[in-house]
Amino acid sequence: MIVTRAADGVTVGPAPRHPERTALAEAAGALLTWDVVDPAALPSATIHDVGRAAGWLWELYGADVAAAVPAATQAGADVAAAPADQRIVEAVRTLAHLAWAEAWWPASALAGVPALDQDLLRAERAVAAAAVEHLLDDDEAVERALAAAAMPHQHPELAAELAAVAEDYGVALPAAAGTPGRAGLALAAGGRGDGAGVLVARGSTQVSWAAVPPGVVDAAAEAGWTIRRTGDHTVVDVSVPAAPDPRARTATLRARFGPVEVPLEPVRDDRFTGTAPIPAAALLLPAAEWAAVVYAPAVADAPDQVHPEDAARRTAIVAAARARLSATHATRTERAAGQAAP
Amino acid sequence: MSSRGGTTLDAAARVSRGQLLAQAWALLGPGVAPLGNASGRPLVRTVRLILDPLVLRPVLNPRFAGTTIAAGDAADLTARISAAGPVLTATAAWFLLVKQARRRAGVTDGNPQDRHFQHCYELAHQHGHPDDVPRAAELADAVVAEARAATGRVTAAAVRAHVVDPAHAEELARLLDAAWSDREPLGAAPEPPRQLDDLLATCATAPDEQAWAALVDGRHGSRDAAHLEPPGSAREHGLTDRTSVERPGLGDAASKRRLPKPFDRSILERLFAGAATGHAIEGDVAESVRAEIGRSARPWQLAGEPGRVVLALGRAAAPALDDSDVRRAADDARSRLRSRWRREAYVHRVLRLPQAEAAVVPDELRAEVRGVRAVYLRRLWVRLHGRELRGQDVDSGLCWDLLDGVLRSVILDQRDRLRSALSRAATETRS
Repeated sequence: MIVTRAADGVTVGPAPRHPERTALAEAAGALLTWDVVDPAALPSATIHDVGRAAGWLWELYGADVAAAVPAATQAGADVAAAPADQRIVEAVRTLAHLAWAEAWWPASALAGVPALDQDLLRAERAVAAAAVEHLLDDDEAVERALAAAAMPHQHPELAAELAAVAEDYGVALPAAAGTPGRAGLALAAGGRGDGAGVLVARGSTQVSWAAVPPGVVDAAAEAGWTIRRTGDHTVVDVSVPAAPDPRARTATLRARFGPVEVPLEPVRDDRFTGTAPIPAAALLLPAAEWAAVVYAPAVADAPDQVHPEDAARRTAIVAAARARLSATHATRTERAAGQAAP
Repeated sequence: MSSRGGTTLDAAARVSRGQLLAQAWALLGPGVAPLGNASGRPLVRTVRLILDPLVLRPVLNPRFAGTTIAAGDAADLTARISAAGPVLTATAAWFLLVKQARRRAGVTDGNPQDRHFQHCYELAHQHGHPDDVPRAAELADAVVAEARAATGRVTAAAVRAHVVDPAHAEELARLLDAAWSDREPLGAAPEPPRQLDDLLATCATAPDEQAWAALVDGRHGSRDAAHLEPPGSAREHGLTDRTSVERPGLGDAASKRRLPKPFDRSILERLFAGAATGHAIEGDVAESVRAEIGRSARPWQLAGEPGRVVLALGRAAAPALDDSDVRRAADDARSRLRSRWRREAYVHRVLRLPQAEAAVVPDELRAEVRGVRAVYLRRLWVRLHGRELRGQDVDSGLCWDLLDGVLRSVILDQRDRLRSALSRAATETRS
C-alpha cells in the first residue's frame, strides 16, 4: 500500500472520493475507509495522530506499514501490508460497512435490493464495536452503540452475542419491536400522467440521495412528471416510487419544478405523488430546467439536480449492494436481508 | 512529526505501547479472556483501570507512559505484564464470578467493568484464584451487594434530602453567604502568558512540564477567570444564561433533562449532575454539600488550580476551532482540535447526516453547532467539575486527553442528536 505524508497527516492507500460509496470506521488517530463499489481486503487510512494510531497499525496492516507511517514522505512509499490478525480486519470492516449501510443502503424495488432490518443492523454494530473497542477513537463506542440497540430475537445468533456484550457493559436492552409488515418488493404500478386533461409534456428526473433521508425513496427510481392542461389552468403531477422500507411510510417529501413547489402525498401504491398548479410562464423555462427535483424539506432546502456522472456512480452502488446480499464477506445484516427477500 | 514522548529522530528506537501490551497480553493465555475483547486484546478499561494504575503505574514509571516507549524499556514492560499473569488470571476469574453474582441479584445496570474491575483485582491479590477459595461465590455476592448499597456514597437522593432538610437550611444559607461575600478579588484580566502558548504547543505530544508548573504555581488559571467578569462575558463563554454571574441557590429539585448552564445550577443541581453520570462519588454527603458551596465562590467555580489552568487552556484553544487563518505546527493542540472539528464535516457527509441548516435540526442544536466554542468550554467545565467531585487529580499529562476528549464528546453528542432529530421528524409527521 502507498504510504504518503499529506498536509495534515499520513495516508495509507487512497480514500474513496464519494461519501455515498465510503464505508467509514473511526479509529484512534485515523479514519479507516473502504470503497463499497471496489472493496479492497484492507481499508485505506487517513492518519492524523501517528502516536495513537501506532497502537493498532501493526495488527491491521503489519509491522512494515506500521514502521513506514512515522517515516512517511511526501513522495510516498509502496509498502506490503500483512495483517497480523484477520479477525480484527473483519470486525473493523463490518463496523465500517454497517455505518455505510445505515446511511446509504440503496433499498429499491426496481433494482431488487430489499431494505435492511434496522434492528439487526444496530445489534451487529454493537457486537462489532465491542470486538475492536481497543482501537476505536470513541472510548465509549460500545455504550453508544448499545444505547441504540434492541434485542433482535429474529436472529438468535446475533441476539446471543448482543446479550453477552450488553451484560459486559451493564446495559439492559429492550426487545426489538420487529419490523412492522415489511413493504414488499413488488414493482409499483404506473401512476404518472393518468390525470384528466391535455398532456403538454412529460419526463423524469433522478432523485439526489443526499436530498432525502435514508430508506425513503427507491434508490434506483426516477421522479416522473407530467404537465397537463385542464380547463383554463395548467398543472404538474409528480410521482416517485417509495423505497421498500418501513421508514418510507413516515416521510414527508416535496418536489421543486422550476418556481413551483409540489407537496408529495404520503405513500399510496408504494409511490409518493402530488399535483400543483403551474403558471404559464413556467412553460417557457429552458428545457434543462424541466425537472422535478425531489427533496425532503426536513434535511435539504436547496436541492440540486443529479449530475449524469452521479447517476452512473449510483448504478454501480446499487449493483454492489445487490451483490453484497449473498456475498460471504458481507455483514450478517445484509445477508439476512438477502435470505429474506423472495 | 513527534508522538508523545518521542520524535521521529528516534522513531526507530521507540515501539508502540499498544502493540507491546497486546503481545504481552496474548502470552498470558486464555485465563485472562474475561478481561479482553473478542479480538483477544485487553479491554480499554482493563488498561485504564487495572494495567495502568495497578501493574505498570506510569505515574511512578514515566518510561511506561505515552503511546510509544523506548525500545530499551520494552522488555521490562513485557516482563511486568508476565509477572502479573497469575494475579490477572485470578482477577479475570473473579470477574466471571462477580458477573454471575450480578445475574443472581438481578443487577443489569451500571458498567460492571467500571464498578468491579478494581474490586476483582483486590480479591485476586488478597485471596488468589477463586478456584482455591472456599465460598468464593459468597465473596462475589458481597462485592455486588456492596456496590449496590449507597453507604459512603454521594447520591442525588441523599444530597437532596440533606439540602432540603429544614435542620440544615440555616447553616447552609449562612455558609453560602459567607463563601460569596468572602470572594477573593480577581484583579485585572491577564494577557495570555508565554507558558500558555508553550503548553498548547506541546501538550498533545510531550507536555512542557515547566510551563505547566509555572501556570499552576503562578495561579494563572485563577487569574484567567477575570475574563469572565465583564457583563455578558461568562454568557459568551457558555457558562451561564445571565448577563452577570450570580450566587447560586441551594436548590430543592433537579432533573437531568433540564439542567441549567453550569454557573446557573443550584448547589443541589451541581452535585446531582455529578452523581447522575453513573460514576460513583465517594464521601460524606454533608461534607460534599459544604465543599460544593465553597467551590461555587472560587475562580471558575472550581476548587483546584490545575483544573482552572485546563479551563484557561481550553479558553485559549477554543477560538482555533473555527479560525482558519492562523497557521500553527500540526501537533499544536489548537491545530489538532481544529482538525478534529473540520474532519467532522467530512464524517457528516459520509454518514448522511443533515446539515446544521436543515429544518429538521432543532434551533438549540443548530445554535450549538455554530457556537461550538461556548459548548466546548461548558463541557470542559463539566468534565473538570466531575473530576473534582470524584477526587481525580489533573496533571500535565492529562491536558491533551481532556482538551481532545471533550471536543470528541461534544461532536459525538451532536451527531446522536442529529440522528434522533432525523428519526423524530420521520415519525412525527404521520402521527
